[in-house]
Amino acid sequence: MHINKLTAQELAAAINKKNISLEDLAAAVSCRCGAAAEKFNAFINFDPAIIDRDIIRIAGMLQNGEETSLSGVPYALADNVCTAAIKTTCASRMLASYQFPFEATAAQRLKENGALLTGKTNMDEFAMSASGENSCFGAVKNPWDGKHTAGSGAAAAVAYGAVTFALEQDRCGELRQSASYCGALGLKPTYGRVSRSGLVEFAPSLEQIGIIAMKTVDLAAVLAIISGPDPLDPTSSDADVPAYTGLLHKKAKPIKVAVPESWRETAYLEEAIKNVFITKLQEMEEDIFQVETISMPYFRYAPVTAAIISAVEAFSSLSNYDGVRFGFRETGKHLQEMYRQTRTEGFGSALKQFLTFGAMISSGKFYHDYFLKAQKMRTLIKQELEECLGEYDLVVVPTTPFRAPTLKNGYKECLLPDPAASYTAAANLAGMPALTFPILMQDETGGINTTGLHFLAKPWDEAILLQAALSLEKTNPVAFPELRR
Amino acid sequence: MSEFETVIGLEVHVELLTKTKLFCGCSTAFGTEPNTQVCPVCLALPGGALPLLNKSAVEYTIKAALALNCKVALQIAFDRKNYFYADLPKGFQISQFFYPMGTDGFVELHINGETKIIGIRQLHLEEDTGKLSHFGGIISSSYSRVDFNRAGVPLMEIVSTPDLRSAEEARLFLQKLRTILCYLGISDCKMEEGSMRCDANISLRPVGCSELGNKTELKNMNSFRSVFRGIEYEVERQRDVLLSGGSVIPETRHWDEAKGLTRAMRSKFVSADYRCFPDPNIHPNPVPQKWIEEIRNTIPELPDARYRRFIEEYSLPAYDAEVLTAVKEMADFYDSVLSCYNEPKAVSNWIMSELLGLLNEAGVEIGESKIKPQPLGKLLQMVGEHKISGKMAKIVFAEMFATGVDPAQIIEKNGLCQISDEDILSQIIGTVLSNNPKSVEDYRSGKKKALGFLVGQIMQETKGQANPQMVNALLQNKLDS
Amino acid sequence: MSGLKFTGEDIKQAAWDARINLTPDEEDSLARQIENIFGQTGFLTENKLANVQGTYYSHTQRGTLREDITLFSLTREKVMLNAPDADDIFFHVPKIVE
Repeated sequence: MHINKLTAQELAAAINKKNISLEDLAAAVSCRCGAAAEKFNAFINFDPAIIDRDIIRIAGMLQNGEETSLSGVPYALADNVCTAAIKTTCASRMLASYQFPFEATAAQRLKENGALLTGKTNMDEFAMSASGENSCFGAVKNPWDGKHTAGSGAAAAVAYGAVTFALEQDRCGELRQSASYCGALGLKPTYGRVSRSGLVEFAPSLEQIGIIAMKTVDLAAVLAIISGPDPLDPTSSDADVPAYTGLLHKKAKPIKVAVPESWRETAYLEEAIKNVFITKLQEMEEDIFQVETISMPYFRYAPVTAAIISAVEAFSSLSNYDGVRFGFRETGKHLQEMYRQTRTEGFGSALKQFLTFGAMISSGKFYHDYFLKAQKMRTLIKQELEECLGEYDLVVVPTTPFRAPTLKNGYKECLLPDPAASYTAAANLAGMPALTFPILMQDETGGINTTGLHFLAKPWDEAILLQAALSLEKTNPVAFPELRR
Repeated sequence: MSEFETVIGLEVHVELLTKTKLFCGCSTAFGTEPNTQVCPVCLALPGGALPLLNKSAVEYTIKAALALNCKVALQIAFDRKNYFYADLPKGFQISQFFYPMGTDGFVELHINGETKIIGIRQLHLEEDTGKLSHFGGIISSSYSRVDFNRAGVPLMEIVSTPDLRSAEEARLFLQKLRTILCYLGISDCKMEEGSMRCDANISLRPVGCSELGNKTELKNMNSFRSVFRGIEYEVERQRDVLLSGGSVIPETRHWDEAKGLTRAMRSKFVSADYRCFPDPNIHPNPVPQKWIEEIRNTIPELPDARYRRFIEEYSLPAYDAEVLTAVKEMADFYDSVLSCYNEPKAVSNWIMSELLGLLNEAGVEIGESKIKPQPLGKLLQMVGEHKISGKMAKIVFAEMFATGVDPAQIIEKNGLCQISDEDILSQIIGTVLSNNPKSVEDYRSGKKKALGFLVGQIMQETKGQANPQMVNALLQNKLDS
Repeated sequence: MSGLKFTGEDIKQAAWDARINLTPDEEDSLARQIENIFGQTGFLTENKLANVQGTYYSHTQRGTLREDITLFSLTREKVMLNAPDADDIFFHVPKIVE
């Protein structure tokens, strides 16, 4: 059964009306997720029993006459979003058997709306990047060819059609980068749109839980459900949650789009990406978009600024991993030695380097010249975007300077700054919503590669991102990688 | 006497009497089973640690800032102070480094009738840590045990300017602080229970010198008495060091109560770089002037104002005023007694000599005792009107204290009324005189001691209830006539 | 180039402060990365930054205040659920003094 051909709404309707049975659904989903787990290592925790348990719960809801909007719609959760009944490892040895007593708020909301949890997906340790190689559970392979990285298991599972959507966190663009590598849609909401309660903390002023899906309507449907204030998250906003699905088809006037002129100068920018971006801009002009290139001098400093800020926040936020109350513990002759041994053995190499960097640039010697100044640059980047989005509806850039990198098999490095975040980090610094739209490209050997068009909007204006994506879907239909073997 | 001037600054930590912790809804109740008042936030579990700021904790802190004459911050903001220790679940403490709630305040001390101003450098809000217990003592133990019930309880830190010049001043400052905070009802400041803690920064300098000498930080003083003894010892120790030509090593020292001395402690944290930065999860809150005024209106008459009022309005001596205003409930009690028996000095004397004694003996606070203001007022009124002797009144009072029964009832039950009726007394005196002609003879022939004997007889006859002054006067009269 | 240079000692001290032991390879790798990022931080010395306020929060949204009412606490069982070393009552840690 090709349930991945259906939108979430269509699938939920079919389940509610019993046109598709829960048994058939469970079988199809288990099969597909199992394949994603086996072939691409998309899951850290995939167990058909998890699916079966959830099916029973949904069956119960249906019996009570509850017809929910996401009834039976299969989804995956990145393994740094907590679940009460399943462990949450953050792809780290430090949390290999960690169990949080409660469900993350976003997951709880999906549960209440009938969605079917299939498992917890793989990612870089604590999702510190989207290299796909920094997990203690092995690398995540790209479903298009298995030789390149997927960036994250969430993106792989969605692109492979194993699940309709996935929730993942986005701090400097990891969600959008992975989606771009796998040819999926990825949405990072406005900061404060979605509760962070239950998201394992890394860089609290930058991160949000976002959504990966193949169809714009599915992004809209899920966003409406997981958005909204949460008393457990003091940074969640009580700004109105619009009916995103209803707003999708609003006939907008031409969407005014700004392109920062510095986009061409980004390091590691592949020629192929450059060309396809220019082509896409032209296509957009012929559609409902008005494209203008403008000067935005601070935009390009975003990845360095974000690296400094997230390193310091991560150094601080990961100080509770000390072997005392939970997690991995190594012995030590005395307390501070136990800390050292625990953290050295429990954390992976790239993460250790990143945390050390964070400790360094927040230390007395460097604090003022790097950390403090980075916060000021953050203000300028944010103000620049606010000004621009006062006049334009969207800012557009490529999502990443390069296509999915080849898997290096064990090469673990912490990149400072992360070149993959060149275009995506600004949205996190400014707290603004951003979306990546998949573009399929032919590569030199005739195989298919993917990349993304990246849109950034002003706070709380997810609707325009979705409208833009829906419009582009007309000329860029959804494509799944062919089933391999 | 001393060629050195003592310079002392105090850092006081006070646990606030909020029902819940600073950043989560766990109870702050004292003395409960270990690790039963914790949640994902205060335990710092991954996925669950988003801080939810307690409104009352903020209000109490603003209240304290106002009562200590501080400038109140324009915004409520919190920062992370990062370090690793077993009682610190997050690996950082949420505190106020950049914008303390209150700055540049002061406290008045009344010393020997003089008023001295001690500056409050700053006052801020932060989280308390968990509690460590060392299986076998901190040095010898092979492991330690951690209880996180206390982790996250709201603490107010008050830092004085180094204006204190002696152990006694330090103790007075601490007591004054305690009085003010108890008046406000925001902490019970019990050093023995740890709801008030004090560290001292102590240094000496030659008299007349304006530069500060090397200072030591003194910790582990767990009562007012230890604060006094600890500082006193450390001052002497530093004096000895300087007089012998040495210099004081700037370090942290522990007060050893049992041995009565201070010992150098190796620093807990190898690096003191706390890397403070604003906590990303706690967005700053402006402090509107309106809110400050609302809080100000909830502040009761503070000890200093009350002290002055007692001196001016009631013409009480400074010493009495100080004793009576030391505890708010006692000052309230005093005011209430005055409202039924308006003799300030008499009431003051009675409270200080009789009531405080009984309270101390029974080990209770005024609020817990059975004595109520109106009955005491009535009793004192009766004494004032000579309906009962002072001596009898003490007996009645003791029973009131034990049983809470009304004085009139006690007096009636025991027939303790003082006889002040001239006719009755004259009659009794007449009887006694005629029964003791020898004594009368003795007195008239110059043996003054006989008077005492006769008074004694009269007292016996009246079962001690005769008004002694009246007896003396009438007897004298009769004998001399 | 930003004014400040870093040394291997800075990395060692930072690792020490973070309670992490890095291997010599990791130290080298990190040093290369820091060299790389420091080479791109010239913009941090720009004069324009002098009068700019830092942004520590994505939005200038007001902080929220919670009423002082007790909410749930975890049962001790749940508290100890993930504890690596504990009896039923306390968490255990190795001795504090070195």
